[in-house]
Amino acid sequence: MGNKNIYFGFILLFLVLMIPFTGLSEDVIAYFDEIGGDVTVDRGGVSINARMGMFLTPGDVIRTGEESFATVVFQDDGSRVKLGENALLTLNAKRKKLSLKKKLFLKTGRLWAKVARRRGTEFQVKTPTSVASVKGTRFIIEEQQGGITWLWVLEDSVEFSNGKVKVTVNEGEKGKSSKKGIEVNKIEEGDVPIEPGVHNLIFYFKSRDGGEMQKELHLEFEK
Amino acid sequence: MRKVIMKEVHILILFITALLLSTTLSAIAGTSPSLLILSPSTGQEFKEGDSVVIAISIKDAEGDVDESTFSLYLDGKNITQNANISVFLVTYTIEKVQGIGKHSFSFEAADREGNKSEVSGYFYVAKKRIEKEFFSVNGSVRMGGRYDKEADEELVGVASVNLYGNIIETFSYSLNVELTNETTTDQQRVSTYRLDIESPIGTFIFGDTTPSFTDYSINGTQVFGIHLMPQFGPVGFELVYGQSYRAVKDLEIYKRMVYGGKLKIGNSDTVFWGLSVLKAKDDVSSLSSATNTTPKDNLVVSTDFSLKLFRGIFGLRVEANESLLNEDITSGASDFSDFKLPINPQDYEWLFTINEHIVPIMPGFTNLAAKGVITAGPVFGNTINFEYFYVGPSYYSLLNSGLTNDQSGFKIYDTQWLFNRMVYLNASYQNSWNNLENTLSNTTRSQGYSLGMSAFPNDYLTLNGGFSYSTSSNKADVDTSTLMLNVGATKNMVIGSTDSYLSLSTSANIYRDKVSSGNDSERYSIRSGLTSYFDRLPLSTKGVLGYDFGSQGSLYLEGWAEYAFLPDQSLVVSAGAVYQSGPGSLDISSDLSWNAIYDIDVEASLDYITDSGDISLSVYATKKF
Repeated sequence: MGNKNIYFGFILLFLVLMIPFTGLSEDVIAYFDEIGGDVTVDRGGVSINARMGMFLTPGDVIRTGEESFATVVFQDDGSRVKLGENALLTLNAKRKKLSLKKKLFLKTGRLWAKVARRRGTEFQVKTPTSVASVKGTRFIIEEQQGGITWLWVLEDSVEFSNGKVKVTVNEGEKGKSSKKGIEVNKIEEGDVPIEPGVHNLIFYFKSRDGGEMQKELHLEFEK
Repeated sequence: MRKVIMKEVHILILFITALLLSTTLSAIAGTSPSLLILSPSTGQEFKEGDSVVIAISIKDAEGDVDESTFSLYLDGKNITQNANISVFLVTYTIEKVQGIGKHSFSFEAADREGNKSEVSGYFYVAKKRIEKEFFSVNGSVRMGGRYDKEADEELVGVASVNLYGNIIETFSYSLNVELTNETTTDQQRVSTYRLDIESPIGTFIFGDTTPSFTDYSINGTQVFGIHLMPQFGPVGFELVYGQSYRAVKDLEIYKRMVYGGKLKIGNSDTVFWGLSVLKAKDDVSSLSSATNTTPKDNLVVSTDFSLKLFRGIFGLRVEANESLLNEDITSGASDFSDFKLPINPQDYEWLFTINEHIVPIMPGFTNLAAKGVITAGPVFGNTINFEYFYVGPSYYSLLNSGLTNDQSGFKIYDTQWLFNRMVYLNASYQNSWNNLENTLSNTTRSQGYSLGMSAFPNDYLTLNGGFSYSTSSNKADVDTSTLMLNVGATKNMVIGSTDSYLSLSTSANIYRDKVSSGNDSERYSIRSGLTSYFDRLPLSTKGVLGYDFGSQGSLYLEGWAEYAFLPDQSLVVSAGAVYQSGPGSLDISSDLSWNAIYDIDVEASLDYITDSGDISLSVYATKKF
């Protein structure tokens, strides 16, 4: 009897000692890197005004208003998504060792994504009708009224599914998903939506004979 | 059976213990946290005023990061306390980044075993370019009119527009147009039109301009034309072309054209030198026939120099002007072929008309106008000014019509602050004379002295006093003197719920004419007044009681009140009256100003003098945008 008590106490002691090492704390998965206009976060039924640098946790719902945008950067690998105006995005991620399995739900609006290419990266964007799964790429996804999801793939490829059909959309292609099916076409010039925020264009001028670069023209514009 | 079960339980317990122990041991000997800078990117550039987020990702395989060891530094300053901290992520937001140049940051973290990690990065802040609209316009529009029963023109209407703004980033402009049916006594235009354009290379004015080359050449006379003032570093130019008078047949006024140019080197804050040429010429064809006036031609060559030393404490300014005047150019330049001159005057008529009507150029300084001014101070509260002027008897500038020639003189003016700026003294002496070339039968000399004092012993009391005495005499038919004295005091006090100023002043003005004593006059006055500003009401009042005696005794009464109506006090009305028993006059006046709806300001005033029946009324409305 006495020995049993000793063993039990020993185990209990170790379990108690291990508690601090389990890293039990709020699971911060991302933060706001940019905010423009009217952006709020619904958390636990409470609406909070978004601020730059603010932490985001699983289950947070990001809402953008008219002419507003927000950029979210994920903690594990720096993947970033920019949410356009009048959009609704729910963040979810599960920790798998040192990475986050990211699953976003875009109920409405447009999203620009730049996913870090890391081994084991899992990044999925769901809309009411479709799912886009990526392994590391740059793409734009938009959920329009009427249950249509658009996808523009700018780098690598994205697996695009409407629940019935699964299609791989490659770089330079755009997909349109609805209940009827998925269409994939080439991205036309000027077809790619420009993401909101400040953009810098730099033009380099060289002499006609191919000599050294002579002048630079910097243009900064805001969308 | 029971023994077997107990033995297996012991083994299980030992296994779990070993597992936990190994985990603990591996944690003790484990790796330091892995840190990753999520933002900003290394060397990323931001503009002044941008928001910047510093974000560090923290990963630890053992999951035993110690938050208490987190330290975040920005430009060497520990900012950990103001950062958002979690075991996975640290962020710090700079709302409006300032400080042009490179900014460095670093982050340290350790796990519970003391294994440390550090990461550092940097970003740049560049100057933010001020964004200007391609074209902007601001300004105001004003319309109104005035009725004056005793004026030459009873009813005068005024409409004016004032616009200003910028065109792209490098040009700014202002446009001022005032239209009125009023004219001057010599029937010259009172309406004005003016466009100013400021550019990186200078100012350019189109329309009505008031150029100023030197004090004695042209200084504020209105010219309608163009006035260009390009500036290239320390070298600048001024070019003027336009019309100063329009032809008026009834008054036999010729149209007068102006041509001028000035070279400027330096700037008036340090060292400056200028050289200018100014020509004013009447247009002979602008009047078909004139009997009482003749068209003229005038040329003035000027140079001016200024110097400021010791941060403006010492200043020197001198100018010299030479003039040529032709009093009648009706017949144009003469043909002097009989005289075999080295030049043909007719070839240079564009520069100056040479004929028999030129004002003679005498040896000496008859055609010269010069001035020198020295200023020194403030030094120990003292500032002194010395001015000498000389205007030769044959110096003329048609564009400086208020100038009197054949005069010279000097004046000294000194001011001094004493007792920690509680006392202010001023004194002056001036002496001038005419008949510089003994061309007149008598020389008139004028002298004047003045002394003044103001004292401010405390914030509530002001005392002032002054004395001036001036004489003018030519030992023949002019021999006058004027003596003026004044003493006054003002006391600020609280009376009831008002902030009031009680004033008392006396003055004496004695004029003596030794040649004609009938012109002698004396005037003495004493006044006492109270001006009050009410605390609880938007009301101000003023009352003055006085008496003038000497040549004519007169009681002086003045009353005035102002009240701001409406909850926002946007409607201000004032009314006043001045009664003088001597002339038996009652002057009633009333003013109104109202900041009405749509940002329109309305101003109205009424003035009525009972004894003469003179009444004047004006109403103006101004809209700003």
